[in-house]
Amino acid sequence: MTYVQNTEQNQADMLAAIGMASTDELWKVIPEDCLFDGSLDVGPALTEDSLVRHMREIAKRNVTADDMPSFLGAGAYRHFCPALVDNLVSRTEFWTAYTPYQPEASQGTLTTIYEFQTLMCRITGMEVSNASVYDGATAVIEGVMLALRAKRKAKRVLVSKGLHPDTLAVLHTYLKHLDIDVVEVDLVDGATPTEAISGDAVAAVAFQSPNFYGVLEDVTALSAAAHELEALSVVSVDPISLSVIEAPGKQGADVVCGEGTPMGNEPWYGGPGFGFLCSKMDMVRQMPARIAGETTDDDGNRAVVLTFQTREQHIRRKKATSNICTSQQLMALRATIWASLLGKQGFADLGKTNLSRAHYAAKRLAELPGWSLTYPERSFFKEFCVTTPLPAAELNDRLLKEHGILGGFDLGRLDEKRKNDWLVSVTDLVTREDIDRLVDALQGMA
Amino acid sequence: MSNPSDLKYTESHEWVRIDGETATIGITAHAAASLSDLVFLELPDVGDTVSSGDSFGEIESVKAVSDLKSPVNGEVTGSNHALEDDLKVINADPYGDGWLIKVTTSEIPGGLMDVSAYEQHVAAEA
Repeated sequence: MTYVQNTEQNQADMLAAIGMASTDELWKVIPEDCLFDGSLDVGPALTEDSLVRHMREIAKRNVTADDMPSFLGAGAYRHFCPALVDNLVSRTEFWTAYTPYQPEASQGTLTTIYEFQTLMCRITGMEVSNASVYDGATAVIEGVMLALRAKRKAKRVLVSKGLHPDTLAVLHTYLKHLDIDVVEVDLVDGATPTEAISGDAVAAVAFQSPNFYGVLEDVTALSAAAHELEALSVVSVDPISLSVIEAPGKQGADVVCGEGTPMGNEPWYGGPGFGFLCSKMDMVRQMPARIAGETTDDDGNRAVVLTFQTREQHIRRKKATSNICTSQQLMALRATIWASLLGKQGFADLGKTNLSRAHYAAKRLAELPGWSLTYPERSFFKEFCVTTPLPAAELNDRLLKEHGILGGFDLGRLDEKRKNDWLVSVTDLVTREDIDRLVDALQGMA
Repeated sequence: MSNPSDLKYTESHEWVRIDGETATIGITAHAAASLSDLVFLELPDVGDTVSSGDSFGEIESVKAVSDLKSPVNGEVTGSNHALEDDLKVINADPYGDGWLIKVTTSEIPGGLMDVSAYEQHVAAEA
């Protein structure tokens, strides 16, 4: 960041320029009862070196997932990310909030978008991807909205309760004031039952695989059931899982979407992340947000431009495919660089590491006396539910305080009947030694 | 291209030909020329109902996506889906082979323009 000085002389010059006597005059528009009256509780001013020392002392109290093994996922996952991602994405050419409307000035940015779209299509087995959306939740909602536009007369959507609870909440917010009937489908033994995919005038059947509880859904059967109703199958996926699991595009999905953060991004403080949205070419006109397309310039050179802009909000205003979306270009670029560094083989290897470590952890935990897998008949990728003899909240508390381990997600936070169900995530950044440490710690708690 | 005198016109540049209870609807030569190169057309299916002033489909050119607005209320009895594969017909023959839909209708809403009023409307918009 550039250093911007702020001397008394600067302030006086600025005030003179706008014809005010003091900065207090700037706040006059704010009602008096809204203004903070008093002094901030930050103590007296410190010298620079004392301040740095003070901040360091405070910072030492932070504990991050880098400092201890973490089994917490529930939608936010940490995976290996080569240092080169940070390095390349830090090139200032990429630091712009500018939308690349002018292809003559933006071939670099447009090319990265085109590469991102190609990447997402290959991973998901779909034919068209947009340039990304805000996050996983809005990606699912845009997928549902796409289906509602494609199936104009159908005003009902079936949504699996295996979708992330935050996604479900956002979906209800989006659809609340539209004339759309949202039907939630209860899980049976942790998975969405195909028999429940029924009803008339259904535009979309939306579900997540692996679902929030880690269970891999039967994408083929659920998509076929959706097609029986002439509805579109909208599948939210963990992109990392597609390294070892068949692409949903090859299992009948019409829309594949999800949270892209696991690819080259981190949970950080809950964001920023990005969502991805892919579909089939026959629905390209219903695809919201930016799409980069390949063309040729006047001299016949390959060039990339934003396409279908006539359907976007800067041209079509209130009739745009979506008025609540944008791309998360820098985050999507991280994913693109990340995938290019891993390569096809690296991506597959990463997936296998997640799969084998998670299954090792599940086996070890299920062997503990009184412990069991919550859904032993179901398949999972990197996350699973275990039913424990002690409340999950107590386990997490003791693991953190006594063993320096960040435990799984306490499902009692969503449903008090499930306080003994623990959602455990094991990614490639959790080692076998970490898993053994966890099991040893739990053995001592019985 | 001259605008036929036996048609009624809308402010949003659709035309309608009334023949007994059948209304045939299309877009005017002026509209087709303004849109220029057409790339996509979406029409309703036979059996759908349309309402006067409401969108019955959309037409997309390299410049813009526009709603197609129905001049009448009624039920769709014909939809010229063949155009979707050959959009140039709309530019070449907007009042003939370029028709979009046929609608069964029992009443003609007021507010439609005859050809001289429509031509004045186009001139005023220019």
